[in-house]
Amino acid sequence: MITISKQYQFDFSYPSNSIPEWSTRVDRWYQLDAFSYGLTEGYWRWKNTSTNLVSPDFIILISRTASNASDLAFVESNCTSAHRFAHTLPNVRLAPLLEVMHWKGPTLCLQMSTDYLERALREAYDLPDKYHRKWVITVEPKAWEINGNSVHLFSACFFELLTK
Amino acid sequence: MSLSLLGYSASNAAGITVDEFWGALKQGTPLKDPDLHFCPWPVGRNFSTAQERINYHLHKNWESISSDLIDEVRGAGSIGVILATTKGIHEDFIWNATPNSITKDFLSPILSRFIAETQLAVAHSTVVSNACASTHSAIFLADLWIASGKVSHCIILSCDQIGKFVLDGFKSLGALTANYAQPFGKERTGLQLGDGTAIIVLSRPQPGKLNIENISIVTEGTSVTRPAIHGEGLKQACLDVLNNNLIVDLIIAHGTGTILNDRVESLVLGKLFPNKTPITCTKWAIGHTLGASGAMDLVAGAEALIRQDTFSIATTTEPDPSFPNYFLCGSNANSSSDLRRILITSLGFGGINAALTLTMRHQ
Repeated sequence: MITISKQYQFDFSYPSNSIPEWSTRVDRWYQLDAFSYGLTEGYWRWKNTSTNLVSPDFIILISRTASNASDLAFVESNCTSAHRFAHTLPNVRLAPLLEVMHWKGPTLCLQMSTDYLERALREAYDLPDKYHRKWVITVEPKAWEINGNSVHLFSACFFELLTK
Repeated sequence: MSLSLLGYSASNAAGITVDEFWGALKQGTPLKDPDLHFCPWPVGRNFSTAQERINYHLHKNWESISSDLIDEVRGAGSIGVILATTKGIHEDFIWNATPNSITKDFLSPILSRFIAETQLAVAHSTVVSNACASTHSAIFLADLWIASGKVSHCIILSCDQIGKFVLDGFKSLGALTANYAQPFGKERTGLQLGDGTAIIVLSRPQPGKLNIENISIVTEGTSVTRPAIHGEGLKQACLDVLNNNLIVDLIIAHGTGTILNDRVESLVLGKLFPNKTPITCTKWAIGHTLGASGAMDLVAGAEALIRQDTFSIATTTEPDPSFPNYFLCGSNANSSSDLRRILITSLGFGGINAALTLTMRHQ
């Protein structure tokens, strides 16, 4: 039997005005894009507010809008910013999170637009029993304006599925 | 795990067919037009959109799959299709982005269109975007689907097209060489990029077919663009697939030609294979095809097993003297009469490491 044993949502704006508590664990944390920052900060808050948060055996990252927003940020640098280009792959946003977690293991970055959360949870649900504890993670833009000064709002969601 | 590799096709800078690809590897034909840093294929043909370009490549590859195999797939109980790519039709979006388009999924429509146009009765489909290890990751997922009984056959569409965006990006990283890529070479200075599309057809184990024996993905938290300095994740991925059997007849390494990638691979493979198992790679001939690169290496490995033949890294005449490995370099690749097991590695941005073992036929 598999259940969603934990879930956590972190809504955030980016850039952030404060130095994250995990900043010493991530090389050049200030160069992270919104998605990488949000996943790492979200995890940090989840860990600090959740009892018995145990590292997973498998992570699925859902990427509904791929890295579109980060791609655009690279173009806005006249395609010269190396650190912005480095974030133009959706799976890359997991890297600082895993660094902070001191975790390594299997991950899949899946791209789904329709029913993306339901389908990703289904993928996790169907994983073999050897992956006892699965995480499904998503981080998506909620409000964005190109070449503007709007508030950039994002939402990161974490789900833990447990095989009992 | 165990999967049968039923069939495959590949198009890349070396040509439209697997034979042309193998011919370039054997003849030592390096990627053309090195001054361009990448080779779009087919040369001289223009497409109105990147989506049209990818669609063209996928259909050409599908047409190259044997009709008997297509009939088998169509008659299968349940089919899975996985698109493995990094940037896909990215160029269509990025230069004309609007506030609405930023939240749009540009990759799933490629998959949907392929399924609709081939009229396959697909039970499960998705897009895997695990950087340059996307194909290995897609095979990993296909194995999960097939092992669980979700599907009996799985088709992997591996493709990446190089455009201005990707080219500018790799330039910004300083990762491109000004000349031919020389993987593992003493004089290596970086990589070349290349268009690539491949289709791989997998199933439950079948007698008489090539066998993907094991596959592993290990993602670790490292700097975004470089593997862990000591290659812990890559070592773990290799150990997972070797499964206590360190006998491998050939290694097809990721071998990008960048300083750090090659150093980490050399270090890990040197520790795992002190007996100096021969190492080769393909990117010197076709460029780095990003999300499709694992498929190109799988196709090269399958051809090596079928032909009982190896190929060298033709652009590398002198390996880095600090590397302890035995590289097939220059013209020193000799035909082998006893290739049975090949290790194929892949590394990607975001700390992804992947490995698979490909063996001769199921009995």
